[in-house]
Amino acid sequence: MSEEKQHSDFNNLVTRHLSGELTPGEERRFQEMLQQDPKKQSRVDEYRKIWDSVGSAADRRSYDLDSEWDLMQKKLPGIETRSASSRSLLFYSYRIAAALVVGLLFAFAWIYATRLAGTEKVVAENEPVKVLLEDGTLVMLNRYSRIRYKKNFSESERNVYLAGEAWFDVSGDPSRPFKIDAGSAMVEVLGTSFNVNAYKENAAVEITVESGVVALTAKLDQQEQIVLRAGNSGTYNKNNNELKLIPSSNPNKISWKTRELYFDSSSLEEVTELVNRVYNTNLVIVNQELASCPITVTFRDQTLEAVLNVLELTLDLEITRSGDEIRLDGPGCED
Amino acid sequence: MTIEKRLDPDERMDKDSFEKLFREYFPPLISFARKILVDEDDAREVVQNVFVSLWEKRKEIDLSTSLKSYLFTSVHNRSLNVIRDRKKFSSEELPDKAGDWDVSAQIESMELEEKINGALQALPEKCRKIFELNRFDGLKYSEIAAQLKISIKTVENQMSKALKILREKLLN
Repeated sequence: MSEEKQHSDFNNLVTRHLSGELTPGEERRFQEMLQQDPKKQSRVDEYRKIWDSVGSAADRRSYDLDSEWDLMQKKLPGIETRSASSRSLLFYSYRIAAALVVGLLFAFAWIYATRLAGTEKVVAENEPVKVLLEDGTLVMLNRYSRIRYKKNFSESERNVYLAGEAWFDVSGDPSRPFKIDAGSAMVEVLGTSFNVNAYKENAAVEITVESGVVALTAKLDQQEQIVLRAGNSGTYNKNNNELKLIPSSNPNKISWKTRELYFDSSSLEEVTELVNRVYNTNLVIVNQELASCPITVTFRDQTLEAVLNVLELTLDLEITRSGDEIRLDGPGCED
Repeated sequence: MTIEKRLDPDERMDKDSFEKLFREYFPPLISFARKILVDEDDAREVVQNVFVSLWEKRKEIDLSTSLKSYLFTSVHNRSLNVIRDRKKFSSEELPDKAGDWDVSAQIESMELEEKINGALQALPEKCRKIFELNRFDGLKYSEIAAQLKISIKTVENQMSKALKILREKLLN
């Protein structure tokens, strides 16, 4: 084999390796060859660096600089000609005229700019936030959660992106399915009310349906889907990609919204966990013997003080506050 | 494309030169911010704010330092601020990749990417087409072969030719 031929065969191999086109057997032989020849290894490293940089160069091409510049200008104070305050109608008619002159490309940039500008983002920090979407759908966003959506939904779909937890009352519109992108899972509905818990730190995305029908799909495998009806819960486990239907849902899943808490021989530990979630408090059990004490009680839209009073009397607790901590102490309970 | 861009201190930055700067630096800056923050909207906001402050300070900014490192450093610092603010009200609500972000390595990779873009334009048409279908559009060799009605062997050869030319161009 001529040296040149060898050389080009090697190049061919490296390129196929980088594109992931080698069969497992070829890949193994390729790695063995590199281990024996440091010179070849460094040649491969060189190629990989170029390969990777080309990838990030590709990533950048996707920005439409005309519309990015338009967005940018809106934020610049005191820019002449097209100032932020006087843009509105004049600005758009100017853009339309330009589009007519310059042609399709410009028209596309304009559509893109308006589309980008029409993205709404709502963030709930310390308190839940109520959001009314243009189609009449009501969203109750739980703490530390946010949604993003287009101000005007498209004619064929209503798409919302959710990080965290929210309760949805989707207005009925069979011709436009309502889709929620919850990170690893997709939720699709026609019109119904339900809760989506998709906090990143949870191992599973959890849906609780109050009325109507909801379809839950894993993003990794969109073939599989479970259909949830009123009263059902469904989970998508991010660790093992499992979709699971739970026939009867726990009403406490949406306590954060209803402010109704149901306890039936629940342990004080479960109670404090839920109270913390609903009231955004930091209840701490000091004496661990208390943790398993059972409680049966229902709270309907009670103040935190009222809840604490009931707990105090039921379990003979001593409640003290220090900073944002509410400390529950006491002798414990016989069981 | 010039790499070391300095603004002449005597020359007031006007809107046109500002726009030119924006168009040149926006893509590498937002991709840097995205590496740290993951979220695209947050990254866009950080980059826009850096440009707003550049615009506001256009008269007093110290232009003897390289503008490029000023921009990358600002994006870096502001991104870390965003992460700090996120943590104030939530531990893990949003993804981020806070860590050691080497600003100068970032500048270096931007410069390399600029060279690559130039080098790509220098590839023979067919060769570049095949390379871009694979690298940018993520098509497999067999898919490219089917789409362009050529053999897989040809795709292999053109891919390896492209990489070889890129390497030659970039090492000089």
